[in-house]
Amino acid sequence: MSEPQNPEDDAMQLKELAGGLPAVDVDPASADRIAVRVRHDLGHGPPKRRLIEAILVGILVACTFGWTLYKAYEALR
Amino acid sequence: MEALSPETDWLTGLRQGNSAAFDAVFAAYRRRLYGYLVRMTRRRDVAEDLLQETFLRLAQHAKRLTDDTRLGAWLFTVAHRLVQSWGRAQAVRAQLAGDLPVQEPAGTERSPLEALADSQTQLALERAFAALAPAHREVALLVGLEGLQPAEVADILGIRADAVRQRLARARAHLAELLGEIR
Repeated sequence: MSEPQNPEDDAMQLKELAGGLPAVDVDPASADRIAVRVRHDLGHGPPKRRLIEAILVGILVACTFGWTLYKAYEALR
Repeated sequence: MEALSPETDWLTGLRQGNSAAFDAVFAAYRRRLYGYLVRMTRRRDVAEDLLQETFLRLAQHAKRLTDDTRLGAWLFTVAHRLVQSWGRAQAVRAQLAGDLPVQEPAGTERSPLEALADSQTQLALERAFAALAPAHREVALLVGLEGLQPAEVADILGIRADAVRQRLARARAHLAELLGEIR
Protein backbone atom coordinates (compact mmCIF):
# COMPACT_ATOMS: atom_id res chain seq x y z
CA MET A 1 0.00 0.00 0.00
CA SER A 2 2.86 2.43 0.71
CA GLU A 3 4.98 1.85 -2.42
CA PRO A 4 5.20 4.82 -4.84
CA GLN A 5 2.12 5.23 -7.03
CA ASN A 6 0.93 7.64 -9.67
CA PRO A 7 -1.16 10.68 -8.61
CA GLU A 8 -4.42 9.11 -9.85
CA ASP A 9 -3.83 6.04 -7.67
CA ASP A 10 -3.00 8.26 -4.70
CA ALA A 11 -6.21 10.23 -5.21
CA MET A 12 -8.30 7.09 -5.63
CA GLN A 13 -6.87 5.46 -2.54
CA LEU A 14 -7.41 8.63 -0.51
CA LYS A 15 -11.01 8.76 -1.72
CA GLU A 16 -11.55 5.19 -0.55
CA LEU A 17 -10.03 5.97 2.84
CA ALA A 18 -11.79 9.31 3.31
CA GLY A 19 -15.08 7.66 2.37
CA GLY A 20 -14.83 5.75 5.64
CA LEU A 21 -14.67 8.89 7.79
CA PRO A 22 -17.75 9.58 9.91
CA ALA A 23 -20.16 12.24 8.63
CA VAL A 24 -19.94 15.52 10.53
CA ASP A 25 -22.34 18.42 10.54
CA VAL A 26 -22.74 21.62 12.47
CA ASP A 27 -25.53 21.28 15.03
CA PRO A 28 -28.92 22.56 13.79
CA ALA A 29 -29.16 25.44 16.31
CA SER A 30 -25.74 26.78 15.28
CA ALA A 31 -26.59 26.31 11.60
CA ASP A 32 -29.77 28.38 12.08
CA ARG A 33 -27.87 31.07 13.97
CA ILE A 34 -25.25 31.29 11.20
CA ALA A 35 -27.90 31.39 8.46
CA VAL A 36 -29.82 34.20 10.18
CA ARG A 37 -26.61 36.20 10.69
CA VAL A 38 -25.48 35.78 7.08
CA ARG A 39 -28.91 36.52 5.57
CA HIS A 40 -28.77 39.85 7.42
CA ASP A 41 -25.54 40.79 5.59
CA LEU A 42 -26.54 39.46 2.17
CA GLY A 43 -26.24 42.04 -0.58
CA HIS A 44 -24.94 44.80 1.73
CA GLY A 45 -21.33 44.62 0.55
CA PRO A 46 -18.29 44.71 2.82
CA PRO A 47 -18.87 46.40 6.20
CA LYS A 48 -18.10 50.15 6.34
CA ARG A 49 -15.60 49.42 9.12
CA ARG A 50 -13.29 47.89 6.47
CA LEU A 51 -13.31 51.12 4.44
CA ILE A 52 -12.61 53.23 7.55
CA GLU A 53 -9.74 50.88 8.50
CA ALA A 54 -8.25 51.20 5.00
CA ILE A 55 -8.46 55.02 5.16
CA LEU A 56 -6.84 55.11 8.61
CA VAL A 57 -4.03 52.81 7.48
CA GLY A 58 -3.53 55.01 4.40
CA ILE A 59 -3.25 58.14 6.56
CA LEU A 60 -0.81 56.39 8.90
CA VAL A 61 1.40 55.21 6.03
CA ALA A 62 1.36 58.68 4.42
CA CYS A 63 2.29 60.35 7.73
CA THR A 64 5.12 57.88 8.37
CA PHE A 65 6.44 58.37 4.84
CA GLY A 66 6.27 62.16 5.19
CA TRP A 67 8.01 62.07 8.55
CA THR A 68 10.79 59.81 7.12
CA LEU A 69 11.33 62.21 4.20
CA TYR A 70 11.41 65.18 6.55
CA LYS A 71 13.99 63.48 8.81
CA ALA A 72 16.12 62.50 5.82
CA TYR A 73 15.97 66.08 4.55
CA GLU A 74 16.97 67.37 8.00
CA ALA A 75 19.90 64.98 8.22
CA LEU A 76 21.21 65.98 4.76
CA ARG A 77 20.80 69.72 5.29
CA MET B 1 -25.13 20.30 -24.75
CA GLU B 2 -24.02 21.11 -21.24
CA ALA B 3 -26.88 21.30 -18.74
CA LEU B 4 -27.17 24.48 -16.70
CA SER B 5 -26.02 23.85 -13.16
CA PRO B 6 -28.07 25.13 -10.22
CA GLU B 7 -24.97 27.15 -9.33
CA THR B 8 -25.74 29.57 -12.14
CA ASP B 9 -29.13 30.31 -10.57
CA TRP B 10 -27.58 30.51 -7.12
CA LEU B 11 -24.98 33.01 -8.34
CA THR B 12 -27.66 35.18 -9.94
CA GLY B 13 -29.73 34.99 -6.75
CA LEU B 14 -26.77 35.83 -4.53
CA ARG B 15 -25.94 38.89 -6.63
CA GLN B 16 -29.56 40.04 -6.19
CA GLY B 17 -29.39 39.49 -2.42
CA ASN B 18 -31.91 36.65 -2.64
CA SER B 19 -32.20 34.74 0.67
CA ALA B 20 -33.51 31.60 -1.05
CA ALA B 21 -30.35 31.43 -3.16
CA PHE B 22 -28.24 31.78 -0.03
CA ASP B 23 -30.26 29.04 1.70
CA ALA B 24 -29.61 26.70 -1.23
CA VAL B 25 -25.87 27.43 -1.19
CA PHE B 26 -25.77 27.06 2.59
CA ALA B 27 -27.55 23.71 2.40
CA ALA B 28 -25.25 22.49 -0.37
CA TYR B 29 -21.94 23.52 1.17
CA ARG B 30 -22.51 23.73 4.93
CA ARG B 31 -21.59 20.10 5.75
CA ARG B 32 -18.68 19.97 3.33
CA LEU B 33 -17.11 23.17 4.65
CA TYR B 34 -17.77 22.27 8.26
CA GLY B 35 -16.21 18.82 7.76
CA TYR B 36 -13.12 20.44 6.29
CA LEU B 37 -12.93 23.13 8.99
CA VAL B 38 -13.48 20.82 11.96
CA ARG B 39 -10.87 18.36 10.70
CA MET B 40 -8.36 21.14 10.08
CA THR B 41 -8.84 22.97 13.39
CA ARG B 42 -9.82 19.91 15.49
CA ARG B 43 -12.23 22.17 17.36
CA ARG B 44 -15.97 22.38 16.86
CA ASP B 45 -16.34 25.91 18.28
CA VAL B 46 -13.60 27.28 16.02
CA ALA B 47 -14.99 25.41 13.03
CA GLU B 48 -18.42 26.98 13.63
CA ASP B 49 -16.91 30.46 13.85
CA LEU B 50 -14.91 29.95 10.66
CA LEU B 51 -17.95 28.50 8.91
CA GLN B 52 -19.93 31.63 9.78
CA GLU B 53 -17.07 33.86 8.63
CA THR B 54 -16.80 31.96 5.32
CA PHE B 55 -20.50 32.50 4.56
CA LEU B 56 -20.34 36.12 5.77
CA ARG B 57 -17.58 36.75 3.23
CA LEU B 58 -19.79 35.17 0.58
CA ALA B 59 -22.65 37.50 1.54
CA GLN B 60 -20.37 40.54 1.54
CA HIS B 61 -18.83 39.70 -1.84
CA ALA B 62 -22.06 38.44 -3.43
CA LYS B 63 -22.37 41.39 -5.81
CA ARG B 64 -18.91 40.74 -7.21
CA LEU B 65 -19.56 37.08 -8.07
CA THR B 66 -19.65 36.35 -11.79
CA ASP B 67 -21.46 33.61 -13.72
CA ASP B 68 -18.25 31.64 -14.10
CA THR B 69 -17.38 31.74 -10.38
CA ARG B 70 -16.96 28.19 -9.12
CA LEU B 71 -18.73 28.48 -5.79
CA GLY B 72 -17.16 25.39 -4.24
CA ALA B 73 -13.63 26.50 -5.05
CA TRP B 74 -14.45 30.07 -3.94
CA LEU B 75 -15.81 28.92 -0.57
CA PHE B 76 -12.96 26.48 0.07
CA THR B 77 -10.41 29.19 -0.80
CA VAL B 78 -11.94 31.49 1.82
CA ALA B 79 -12.13 28.65 4.35
CA HIS B 80 -8.49 27.73 3.67
CA ARG B 81 -7.36 31.33 4.26
CA LEU B 82 -9.35 31.53 7.47
CA VAL B 83 -7.78 28.28 8.70
CA GLN B 84 -4.34 29.66 7.88
CA SER B 85 -5.00 32.90 9.80
CA TRP B 86 -6.36 30.93 12.74
CA GLY B 87 -3.28 28.67 12.66
CA ARG B 88 -0.96 31.69 12.69
CA ALA B 89 -2.86 33.26 15.59
CA GLN B 90 -2.65 29.96 17.47
CA ALA B 91 1.11 29.79 16.89
CA VAL B 92 1.55 33.35 18.22
CA ARG B 93 -0.62 32.55 21.26
CA ALA B 94 1.47 29.43 21.89
CA GLN B 95 4.68 31.47 21.80
CA LEU B 96 3.25 34.07 24.15
CA ALA B 97 2.16 31.28 26.48
CA GLY B 98 5.73 30.02 26.71
CA ASP B 99 5.91 27.68 23.74
CA LEU B 100 3.30 25.30 25.07
CA PRO B 101 1.71 23.23 22.31
CA VAL B 102 -1.77 24.56 21.59
CA GLN B 103 -2.95 21.55 19.64
CA GLU B 104 -3.04 18.31 21.55
CA PRO B 105 -1.45 15.43 19.71
CA ALA B 106 -3.84 12.61 18.93
CA GLY B 107 -3.76 10.60 22.13
CA THR B 108 -5.73 7.75 23.52
CA GLU B 109 -8.73 9.82 24.63
CA ARG B 110 -11.47 10.55 22.11
CA SER B 111 -11.73 14.08 20.82
CA PRO B 112 -15.28 15.45 20.22
CA LEU B 113 -14.75 14.71 16.55
CA GLU B 114 -13.61 11.16 17.19
CA ALA B 115 -16.66 10.65 19.40
CA LEU B 116 -18.73 10.73 16.20
CA ALA B 117 -17.06 7.58 14.97
CA ASP B 118 -19.43 4.68 15.45
CA SER B 119 -16.93 1.94 14.69
CA GLN B 120 -13.30 1.15 15.40
CA THR B 121 -12.52 1.58 11.70
CA GLN B 122 -13.96 5.10 11.64
CA LEU B 123 -12.10 5.96 14.83
CA ALA B 124 -8.83 4.64 13.41
CA LEU B 125 -9.37 6.63 10.21
CA GLU B 126 -10.23 9.82 12.08
CA ARG B 127 -7.10 9.47 14.20
CA ALA B 128 -4.92 8.69 11.19
CA PHE B 129 -6.15 11.81 9.34
CA ALA B 130 -5.63 13.86 12.51
CA ALA B 131 -2.05 12.62 12.77
CA LEU B 132 -1.13 13.93 9.30
CA ALA B 133 0.77 17.19 8.99
CA PRO B 134 -1.81 19.97 8.44
CA ALA B 135 -0.62 20.65 4.88
CA HIS B 136 -0.93 16.96 3.99
CA ARG B 137 -4.23 16.55 5.84
CA GLU B 138 -5.68 19.50 3.94
CA VAL B 139 -4.81 18.01 0.55
CA ALA B 140 -6.02 14.56 1.65
CA LEU B 141 -9.37 16.03 2.73
CA LEU B 142 -9.87 18.20 -0.35
CA VAL B 143 -9.01 15.43 -2.78
CA GLY B 144 -10.12 12.37 -0.81
CA LEU B 145 -13.26 13.64 0.86
CA GLU B 146 -14.33 16.51 -1.40
CA GLY B 147 -13.33 14.81 -4.63
CA LEU B 148 -11.57 17.90 -5.98
CA GLN B 149 -8.96 17.60 -8.71
CA PRO B 150 -5.30 18.39 -7.84
CA ALA B 151 -5.44 21.43 -10.17
CA GLU B 152 -8.49 22.81 -8.31
CA VAL B 153 -6.79 22.17 -4.96
CA ALA B 154 -3.70 23.98 -6.25
CA ASP B 155 -5.88 27.03 -7.04
CA ILE B 156 -7.52 26.91 -3.61
CA LEU B 157 -4.22 26.62 -1.73
CA GLY B 158 -2.32 28.99 -4.03
CA ILE B 159 0.40 26.44 -4.77
CA ARG B 160 1.54 24.52 -7.87
CA ALA B 161 -0.27 21.35 -8.95
CA ASP B 162 3.04 19.47 -8.62
CA ALA B 163 3.19 20.42 -4.96
CA VAL B 164 -0.37 19.16 -4.47
CA ARG B 165 0.51 15.82 -6.08
CA GLN B 166 3.60 15.56 -3.88
CA ARG B 167 1.56 16.24 -0.73
CA LEU B 168 -1.03 13.77 -1.93
CA ALA B 169 1.57 11.02 -2.27
CA ARG B 170 3.03 11.79 1.14
CA ALA B 171 -0.39 11.92 2.77
CA ARG B 172 -1.34 8.56 1.26
CA ALA B 173 1.95 6.95 2.30
CA HIS B 174 1.69 8.34 5.83
CA LEU B 175 -1.93 7.23 6.16
CA ALA B 176 -0.98 3.75 4.96
CA GLU B 177 1.77 3.65 7.54
CA LEU B 178 -0.51 4.86 10.33
CA LEU B 179 -3.36 2.54 9.46
CA GLY B 180 -0.93 -0.35 9.10
CA GLU B 181 0.30 0.32 12.64
CA ILE B 182 -3.25 0.50 13.97
CA ARG B 183 -4.52 -2.60 12.14
